[in-house]
Amino acid sequence: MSLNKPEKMPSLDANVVKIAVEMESENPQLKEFNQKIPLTNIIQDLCSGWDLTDPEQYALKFSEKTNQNYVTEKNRNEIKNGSVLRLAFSPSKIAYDILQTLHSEGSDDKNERTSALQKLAECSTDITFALEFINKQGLALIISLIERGKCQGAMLANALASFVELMDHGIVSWDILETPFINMVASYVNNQTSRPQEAKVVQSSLSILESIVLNSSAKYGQVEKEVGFPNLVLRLENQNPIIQQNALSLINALFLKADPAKRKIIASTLCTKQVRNVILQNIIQTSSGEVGSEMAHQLYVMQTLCFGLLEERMNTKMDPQDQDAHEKIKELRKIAFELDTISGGDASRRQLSPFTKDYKKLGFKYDINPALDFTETPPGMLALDCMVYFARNHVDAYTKVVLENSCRADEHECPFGRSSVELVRLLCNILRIGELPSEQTTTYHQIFFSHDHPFHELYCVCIVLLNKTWKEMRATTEDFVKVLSVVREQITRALGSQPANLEKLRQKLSTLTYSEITNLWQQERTSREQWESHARPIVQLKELVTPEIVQLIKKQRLNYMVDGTRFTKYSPRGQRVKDKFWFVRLSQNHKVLHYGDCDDKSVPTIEELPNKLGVVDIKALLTGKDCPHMKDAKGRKSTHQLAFSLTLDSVEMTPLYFVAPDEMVYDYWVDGINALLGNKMTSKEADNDLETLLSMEIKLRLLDAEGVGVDIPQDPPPVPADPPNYEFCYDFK
Amino acid sequence: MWTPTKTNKYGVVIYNWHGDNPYGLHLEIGDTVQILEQCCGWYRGFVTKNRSVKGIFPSTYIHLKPSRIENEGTFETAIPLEDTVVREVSLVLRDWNCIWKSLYVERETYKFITLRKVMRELLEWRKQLLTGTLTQDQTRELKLKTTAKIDWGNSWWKHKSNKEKNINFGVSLLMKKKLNYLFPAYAKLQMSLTCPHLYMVNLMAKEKYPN
Repeated sequence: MSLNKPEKMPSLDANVVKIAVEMESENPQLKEFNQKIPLTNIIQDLCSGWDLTDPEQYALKFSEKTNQNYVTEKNRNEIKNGSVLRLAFSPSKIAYDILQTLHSEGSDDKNERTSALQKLAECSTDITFALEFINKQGLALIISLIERGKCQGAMLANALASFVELMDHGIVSWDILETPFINMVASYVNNQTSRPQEAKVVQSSLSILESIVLNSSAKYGQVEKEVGFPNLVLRLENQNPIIQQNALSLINALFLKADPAKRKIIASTLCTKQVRNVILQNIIQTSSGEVGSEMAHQLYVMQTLCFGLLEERMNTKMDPQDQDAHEKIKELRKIAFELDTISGGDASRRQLSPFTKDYKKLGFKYDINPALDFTETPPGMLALDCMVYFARNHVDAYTKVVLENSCRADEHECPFGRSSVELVRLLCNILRIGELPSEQTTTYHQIFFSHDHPFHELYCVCIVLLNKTWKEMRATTEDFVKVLSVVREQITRALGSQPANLEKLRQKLSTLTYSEITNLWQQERTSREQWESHARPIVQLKELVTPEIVQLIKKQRLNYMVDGTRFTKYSPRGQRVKDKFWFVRLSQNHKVLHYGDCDDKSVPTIEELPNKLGVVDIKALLTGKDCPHMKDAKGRKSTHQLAFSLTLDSVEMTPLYFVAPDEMVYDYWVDGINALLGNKMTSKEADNDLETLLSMEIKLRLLDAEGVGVDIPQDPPPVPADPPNYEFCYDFK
Repeated sequence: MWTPTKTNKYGVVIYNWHGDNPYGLHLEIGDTVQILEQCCGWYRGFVTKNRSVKGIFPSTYIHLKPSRIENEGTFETAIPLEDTVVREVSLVLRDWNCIWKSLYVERETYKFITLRKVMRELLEWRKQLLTGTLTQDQTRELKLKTTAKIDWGNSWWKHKSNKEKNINFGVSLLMKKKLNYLFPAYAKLQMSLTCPHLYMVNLMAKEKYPN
């Protein structure tokens, strides 16, 4: 054990920690606890400190809010400096006392036995105690107590709770339980008296039965036989959330472990309106509106198991001999194309035309034999089921979708058959049909408790959506993948908003148009780019490219000075001289400033400017209020902001005083002079120009690193060890 | 053992590599590299904008891209298998960048701003083409829009030039060279020197209706 924090007085032995030990009605002892000394010795030492005989009857316990377990040789390294421990009766002593009380059946004092059982339930959460108690044949005694039905009320509740805790450690196999025990526990679940003290009995009984179902395959039948489903459903209506939760867990366990035939029966029970409503009203839409995470997980499991029933159809290819399926395909055709012609009377012509034409209109891939459309798994026959469900239950929507696309002459029609197959495959994927429930997930969808055939109904909503999106995208059959990627986004986002029923889902979907999805994608791209522009390699690249860009700005500024600028004349006191101007130019070789007076229109050539100032003679550039000519200027504020001056090394020459006509000219000249003097260009214009030029440069440099699949890493990728040699294959010398 | 790479021939640099290792090649993020040979997690190759400098670099710094090889052997060239319009936009934008920067130095403010706007548009359209979320129709339309914009830009640039004739010819020649490079199969076709992008448009039409 090493100490985490250095102390002023470093303890020489890292095995020693300083702790306090308390004991009921005794003064606490402060101790140095040596991890190398056996616990029994330490306990002996403590006992003698408190004058306790029989140290073997005592043990140390942790004394924290979350941990009050016994200290054992295994977990003693959890003791840290400053830990507080408690000396208490040892597991063996407590187990012995409890067993004594329970065995003395003659004793009439029920209270004594009840409190012994209560103590047992509390202590059993600690595996150290549980082991001790089970070793003393305690579990067998508890089982027989329960089995013989001798306990009642609080005593029974504690016995059951103790049993749950003792079994929870996984020390004993669930297979040891016999039929009478199971029957007795099941009877507590079936017994619908609702006295408050019974609640704990029911909770524990449900939990025990769930564990039996999950852990002992041989006893499944017994539990299933003894507990009727209706009884469990009744328990879901209970107002106690733990009973609800345990009942649902047991239902899920029975569901999960059932054989396929049984599973269908269970599912059909669960999907009935009555059961769904019980769940919706008593669990999901409660007045508090809150569903605990364990309950949410159980709802998720139930949903996953219900959807799991679709797996078989999803993975079944269409059998060419399957007459029923052929009839269904014909029915699809009939509903779409014949209902409207019954009154029309053009039936004779209809019958002459081969079905093939209609199948083409229905958008099957294989219009000669649509059965082939259902040979891919997933979605297999599930697709056909959904289509027929749609045609039968939503005739109007169905015919609308089909006819809309069968009358188009261009290539923009959305083939109903093909898109249904693709859509059902997509839905199976989104809802993870065929996968076993995961341990952690707590996402359930209320919407799927709102209908008898939630999957098929979802398909009906989504096939209409797919059609709409197809039209919005002006898609052709080449675009299937792209349309589906948009539809996937629409469905996952809409489901993510947890709509309460199909109508809410429809509403949500109507807001998620194609253009909305493109917007969202665009936003995601932009934020990704923003994040990337701060990625280390890109920041490095910017630093690398910046000097090049700064040179460009410098060149531009110097060019500007070569072209020259006309300035208004100011007196050395900072007074503007009316109608007097002067002109300044930089020589082509950037070495001399030429200047001289001019009028308000002319642009004098370099030869016309009589005065010269060598750049080497410039001592410093002064700006704003630092300028000598602005020292006592009290005029308009803006003047001094545009003023700059050049002081010179030689005293014989007068400094040059400038006042720029506007900010841009000021920035350009100050940048230019700074560039000439080898200083940094600091103006706002220079910053802007750098930003503009640099961002374009970086964008262009990164063109090839753009696009799908290229990820810019934040940290340097791993570098391999140097290659063993440098004997290259290609020689370019 | 260094062995010539079979399929890993071309890629983009995803992290700056100093190149301070023996035979090292300095790489900057965004550079494209052609790969000649490999050994124990290292590649040997060169940055495509400077073929003459060869060197080695860690393979982890490269994101590989599909390509095909021409003139296989010591002097082989890897041609990236990119969408032709996307590739064209990259080349054009890099050309225009030089022009754009000279507009800056010459303080042609209006033209500088205009060209910048067009370049940004092309960047955005190229990005849209790359994301792969557009439908065929939208892609076709966007490609037409893009090539039209490139044509416009080129003629606008020509127009702007004082030394009109020389530049005019120069740009077209550049385009022709580029097209030959992009579509060697079509290189033999007679091309209009005055409007190479009409050729691009025709080419796209061919892609759509091969017959």
